[in-house]
Amino acid sequence: MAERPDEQQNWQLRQYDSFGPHFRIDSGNPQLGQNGAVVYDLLGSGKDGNTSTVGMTEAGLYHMYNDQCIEIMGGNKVDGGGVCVNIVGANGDVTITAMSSGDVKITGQNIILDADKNVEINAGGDFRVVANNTVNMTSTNMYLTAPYGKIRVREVSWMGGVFAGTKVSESVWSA
Amino acid sequence: MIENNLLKTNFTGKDGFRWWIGQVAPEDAQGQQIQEIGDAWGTRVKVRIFGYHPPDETELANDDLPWAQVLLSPQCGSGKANRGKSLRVSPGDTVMGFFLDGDDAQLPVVMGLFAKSGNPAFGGTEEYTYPFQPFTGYTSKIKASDYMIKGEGGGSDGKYSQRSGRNVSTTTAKKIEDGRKDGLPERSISTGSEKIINFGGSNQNTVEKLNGQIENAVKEVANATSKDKFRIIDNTARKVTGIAQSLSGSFVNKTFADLKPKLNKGLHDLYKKTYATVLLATQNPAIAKKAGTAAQTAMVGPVKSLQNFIPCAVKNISENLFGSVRNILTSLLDNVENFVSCIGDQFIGALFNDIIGNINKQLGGLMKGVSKIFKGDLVGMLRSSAEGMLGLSNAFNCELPSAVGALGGKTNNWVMGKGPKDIVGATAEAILSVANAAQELQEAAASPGGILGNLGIFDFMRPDVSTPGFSSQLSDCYTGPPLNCAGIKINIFGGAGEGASAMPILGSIVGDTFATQTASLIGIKLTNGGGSYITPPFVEIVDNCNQGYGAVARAVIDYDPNSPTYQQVVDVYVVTGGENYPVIEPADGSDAVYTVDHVVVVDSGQNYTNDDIITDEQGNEYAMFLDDDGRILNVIPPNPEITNVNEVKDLPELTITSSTGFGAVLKAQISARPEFQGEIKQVIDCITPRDGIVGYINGEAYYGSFHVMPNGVKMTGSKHSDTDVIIYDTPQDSRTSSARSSTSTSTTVQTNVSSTTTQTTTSSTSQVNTTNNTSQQTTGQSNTSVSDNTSSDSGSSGSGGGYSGY
Repeated sequence: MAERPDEQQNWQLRQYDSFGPHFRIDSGNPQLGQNGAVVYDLLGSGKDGNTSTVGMTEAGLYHMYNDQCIEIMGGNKVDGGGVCVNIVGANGDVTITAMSSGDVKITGQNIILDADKNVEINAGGDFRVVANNTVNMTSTNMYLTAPYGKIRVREVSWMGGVFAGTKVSESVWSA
Repeated sequence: MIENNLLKTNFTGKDGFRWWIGQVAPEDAQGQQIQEIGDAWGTRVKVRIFGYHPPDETELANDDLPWAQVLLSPQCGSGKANRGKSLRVSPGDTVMGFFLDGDDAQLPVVMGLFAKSGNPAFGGTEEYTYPFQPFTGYTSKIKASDYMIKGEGGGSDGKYSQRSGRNVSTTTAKKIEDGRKDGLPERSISTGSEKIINFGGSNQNTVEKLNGQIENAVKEVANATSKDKFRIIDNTARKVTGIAQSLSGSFVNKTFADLKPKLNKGLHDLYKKTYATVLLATQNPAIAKKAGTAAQTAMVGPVKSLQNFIPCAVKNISENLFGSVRNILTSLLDNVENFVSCIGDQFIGALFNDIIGNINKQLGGLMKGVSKIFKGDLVGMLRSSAEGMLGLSNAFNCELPSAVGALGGKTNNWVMGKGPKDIVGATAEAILSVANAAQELQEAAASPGGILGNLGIFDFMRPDVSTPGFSSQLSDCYTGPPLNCAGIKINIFGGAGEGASAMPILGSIVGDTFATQTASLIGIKLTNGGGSYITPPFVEIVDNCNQGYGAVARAVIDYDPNSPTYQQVVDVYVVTGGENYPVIEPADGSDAVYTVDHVVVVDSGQNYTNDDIITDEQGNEYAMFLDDDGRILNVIPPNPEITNVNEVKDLPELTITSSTGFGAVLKAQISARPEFQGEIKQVIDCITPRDGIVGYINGEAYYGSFHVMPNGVKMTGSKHSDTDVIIYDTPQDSRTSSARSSTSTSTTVQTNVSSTTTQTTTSSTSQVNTTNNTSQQTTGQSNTSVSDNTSSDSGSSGSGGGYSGY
């Protein structure tokens, strides 16, 4: 393996500002990474070896790498109702992946999944829906498939409970 | 002279300027000043000055050196109004300054620093020894960081100065470092670089998910300590167990779904058999019926036991799974050095065997209870279920369609720091075949059980699996470093279409001997545009040796529904060429010479004028066609057939010289240079169809009706219309042209080539072009502008990108 010859590497373009072994701004570095040369990188390193890199490559990939946790918080001074964190993918997918055995948690007063087309939820294990008030599912077609379990589809009436065991027949109280 | 001395005041600015060069004293001498605490004040350092201070600490100790104020640049600020910048003067720095007190030389001021050479050959990184010897700027409080790459130096030494890590994996960085002749170190900027991320989705990508996990683990272990290895195995085992849980669930569901009709049939058979037997014995149908019913009723208990097991099955199996997965992983990571798809198949095969073994174990006892109504082979049935699992989810999809559906234009996999990755899906047949074979091997060896249970004997369990020449009864799945680099391939995937293919063109060759040569990607030759693409597909540069890095390419598709290349890939251009890709010998032994064939207008920009000039590094000038808003519609390179353009050896780069225009992005596409024919050009009669072939459109032979325009260009249809398409003489020309003729009425002033001409002089052509800019879009960027254009062109060669329009 060998790098391109020096004359094919544009070191003239490179400008850096190195603040010490803990932080550096590196721009126009011609050395190649997987996505091309460096447009710029902000490189940080702690004494325990934790590192952080924010930057952009010649092929346009913007990256934020951090060895430990990344915090993003917005809106500390936004009065209620405003948008304080907005993540937008102009074209293409927006993905969130917890590698290893991590969970993905979304918490909020209301959680709204709004799909122009479809919503798919896959669970390797269990899928639970618990609502302390109402579960409302509406569809033109609905399928429930399981080899074993309890699937009860019936009309539910609170009045039915009130009149249960009385001499008032269902046809009367449900009319 | 004496008078001059007597007149000196040694006051700043009144006498001569006494400048000096010195060295910043080591850390110990800087006292609290360097710590910025205690009696530190201002910006000052102790310096030992050449010619004024002896190079000997016994004569003048470092502690006794004078403080030198350090002047700051006005751009740094003094600190007032919160405008300031920290000093970056380090012990050992060679500094230059002057004395505020002239010849008294007691009040030095530092004006500037001499840059330290970054080249290790110049030294200067040693600890302090004695005055005026170069020494390191690191101190007890400022220590070198591996991340920033040890090495001090700055200035103009380019690659030697302040080296930073690369956006590659640790393994790749090590490979680059090993290959360097200058001995410079290399680092990865993140341990996350090159990790494979699976975005997830439906069960369809369970195999991809598992392969991604294993590949990541193999890469991670390659640079891990034995202690780290345990962590990696544990983490990966948990993740794999989680993924495998869905497989277990699917297995159980499928097993019980398959069992139901079989047991039902068994019950009916039992009734019939019992009824017949009792009737024969008693000749009483009522008794026979009762006996048959009783026989069936006797099965309620055993069947109910089976049913009661269903809710526990997945849980029980998953609980057992973690241990086996960890064992499998340990074995695999002990022996496998390089992830290859066949070892992924084997890993999943082992997982299958384990799940099947577990289900068999869990159900074995219960199945004995229903042996009267089920005589089948449970393990065989499970294995056929496994085929259903991977065959795959079609069976499920029929019952419950996947909401999101097929991947279409998407990708499920991403390599950190690199981009989208296509994973060639393993076939159910391959996995099951290897799983069964491994099982048979174990049974043949009469060694069931043991530490790996009933998994089977797989290649990854063998210590020699990464040894060149490895072969086993199971397969030849060698997992060591790749032995034969097959060169790089262009893999076009996603975009909801299929069929597009392309070939890489390598250049910027490094190395003298073929075996050690490496190259960059300098062009891509589209060999098939495929079809049905609704978004530009991803372009993956595949290097089976994982040697090269940095090449990125993007595809362009045709969005024009009236175009014959609609929803086809019409171009694949190189964004960055990368380096270190293996060079393979051309199959035909040819050593092609390349020139710019056409230009892909990735972004049209705006505000360009006809006075603007487009050139390449060779100085060749390109013709440009603009719309009314100054957007670039098309760029035509010089025709290599009639212009003696220089050979392209590196990724070509185009420059637009314009005082008004902005935003255009142009990518030159190269192809093998056609023969240079000079001023006199032999014109082959290409009007008469050859074997019925009129010409080529988008690489395909065209046999239909055609007409010839006044400028000699052939177009489809017997009469001219708005929907006509240019017919080219060669497949190459037809592929590399991206525009399509529409409204045309070309007014042409040209020396035309008539159908009967055998030789003529090629002359320039001026024509009125009306260009319909083909709607094209590249990943992440969009091309705009549909506009008519009137401009002049020279020549009508298809290789010129063609479509300057008619």
